[in-house]
Amino acid sequence: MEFNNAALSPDSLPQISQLSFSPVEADYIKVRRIITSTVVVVCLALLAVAWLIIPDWVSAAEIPAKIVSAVLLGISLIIAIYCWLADPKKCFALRDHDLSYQSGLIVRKTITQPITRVQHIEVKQGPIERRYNLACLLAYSAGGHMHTFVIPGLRFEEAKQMRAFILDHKEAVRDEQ
Amino acid sequence: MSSEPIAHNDGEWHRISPIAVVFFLAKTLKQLGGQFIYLVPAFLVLGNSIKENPGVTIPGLLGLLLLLIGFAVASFLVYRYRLTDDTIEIRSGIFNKTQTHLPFTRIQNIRFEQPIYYRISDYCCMQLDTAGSAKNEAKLIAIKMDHAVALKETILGARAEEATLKDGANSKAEEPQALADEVVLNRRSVMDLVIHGLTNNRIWIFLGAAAPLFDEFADSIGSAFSYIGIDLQQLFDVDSQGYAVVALAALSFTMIAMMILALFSVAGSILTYYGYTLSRAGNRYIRRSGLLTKHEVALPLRRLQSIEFKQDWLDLVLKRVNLTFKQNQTGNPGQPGVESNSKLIVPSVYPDEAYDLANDAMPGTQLNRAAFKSIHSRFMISKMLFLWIPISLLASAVVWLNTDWLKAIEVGAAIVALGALVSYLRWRRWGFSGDEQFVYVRKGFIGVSYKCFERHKLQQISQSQSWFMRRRNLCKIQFVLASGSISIPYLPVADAVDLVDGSLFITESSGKSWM
Repeated sequence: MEFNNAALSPDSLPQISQLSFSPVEADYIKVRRIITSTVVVVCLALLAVAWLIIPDWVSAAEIPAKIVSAVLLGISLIIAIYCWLADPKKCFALRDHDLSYQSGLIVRKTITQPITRVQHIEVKQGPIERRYNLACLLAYSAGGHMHTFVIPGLRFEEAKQMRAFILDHKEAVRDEQ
Repeated sequence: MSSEPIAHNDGEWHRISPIAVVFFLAKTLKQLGGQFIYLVPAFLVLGNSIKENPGVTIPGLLGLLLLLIGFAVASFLVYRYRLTDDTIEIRSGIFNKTQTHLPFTRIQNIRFEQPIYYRISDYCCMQLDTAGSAKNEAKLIAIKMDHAVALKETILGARAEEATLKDGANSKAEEPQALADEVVLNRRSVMDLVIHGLTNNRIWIFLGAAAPLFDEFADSIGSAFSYIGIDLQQLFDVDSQGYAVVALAALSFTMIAMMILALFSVAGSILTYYGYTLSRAGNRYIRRSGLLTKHEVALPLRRLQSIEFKQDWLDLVLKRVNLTFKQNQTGNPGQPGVESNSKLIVPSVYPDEAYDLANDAMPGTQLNRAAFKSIHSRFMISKMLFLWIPISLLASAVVWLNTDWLKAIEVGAAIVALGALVSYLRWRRWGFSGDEQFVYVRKGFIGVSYKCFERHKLQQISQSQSWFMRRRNLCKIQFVLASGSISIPYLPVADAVDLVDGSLFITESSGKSWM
């Protein structure tokens, strides 16, 4: 087997840490904030029902109802606060040969997907995303479904452009037999 | 009506050998066995009424058996296959008819399976795997061994031809070797398998095979003990025996249980790996083994993703290694412990043999002899802070609420000490290394495992850094391969840069395929 093994010095390599990342769309952050706030409001309403109405109505269910609604409110609040703070930190970068996506508030995580290893690619749009002209880019590799590479919060056109870029990449999505 | 031992690519529909009836019957029984495990309690409840009405149950069971045989015969009658120059077609199914159409070039892997009832007549099952979904795979049931081998050569020939047409140099080099003679690389003796059974928990193999007998077995243990004059209830009664005797009894029972488990494990090991040979035919590895059902698993070397060199504590004592060659695992998570098709294991070899085998498959790999760097000692601190100390606090709180604070402190301290020991042992094992071609990772607790993969086989990579790691300039990286992911925690960012950027560079610039 012929193998080319040129020595590399770490400094000459293109570095992930030097990438300039672009943030996800402001609309995406806005939509997520609206959704999480709505969930918190719904949980607050549930809490009010549990404290004010249920005790009079079915007294036996008082304690469980209070606990369940308080737990739900707590979880939804934590998720809402986390999304509020972490969503603006989501960003992505596109290089000639790979895609990177960075996210996380306490743990910053950078995932890099080489384009030559992309098996197939999907642009996904839910009903709310469609209304705001947003989309999500999914790149599947042989690493399995646990490791599907996802960039959320792209403009629909941008996602389509990225898909075209990846499909045009001469090595990607080759039909491996 | 049965098939002749010559490969006939005549485009006619052929019937398989009638011995396939046995195969269909065994398959249905196995499936039913799997279903009825859940009904065992119901049968136990109904046991008495079944016993009381033999006039209904015996004809009922006979009828069921006849129905199953009829089903097997019908399955055999509708099963046809047809070969042309470049495709294989299979028609099967009584109610749900399926017709599988499989061009030779799409066949990724060919396996032979020889259940015990085929052994005498030299028939085998030929399993044809395709790349993608499990739906598309085909199984030729009951064809003559020599016919199967001839067909395999034809399929491999067709594939090699197509690969040559498709893209140039490297597949050309592969082609003449693909059909070359086999060289046996490794054999395992029964002694090796006994060691393998002792050092590895292979008990599930045995339990899986013995599952239908299980209930009866559990029942008879109790009666066996009372037969030889041991009354279990009396033996474990603290009031009449005192603590020392009960403790001794418990200890000896544990020992006996361990011995029985070890024996089962050895039996499991021999069941799967009896007559083990690992051979190389050109660029493919072939594993053959099995006491009752002979399995043949082939691994084309270009599909090899990673190699694992694993020693449990008993392996360290006995100086043995389990070497695993892993290939593409996507969409095939496999059951725990079950030897899936995506792995090729060489059980309990000597470390030197393992090193040589690894080097045969991945020339130039250092595997366990690489110069490993250890990860940062913050690993231990974080494990203590975020795992062991919370657990110990929780446990002490529970103890405090139930008894007194002195006991709570004792329990808490014991858990912290245990956690510290575990964290230290694990930290000591963690190590990583990389050269221009490979990345090596060492990990373990009491035992040790070394993993190695070629950098260009990388599918995806991720690098993460928590707030605590950032202050120490540390991070965690995770390599995603087609055979699963491999991560390294708490390594210095400088080393991570070399591993991440270097591996990405090689993956993206080499233009080499991952399979």
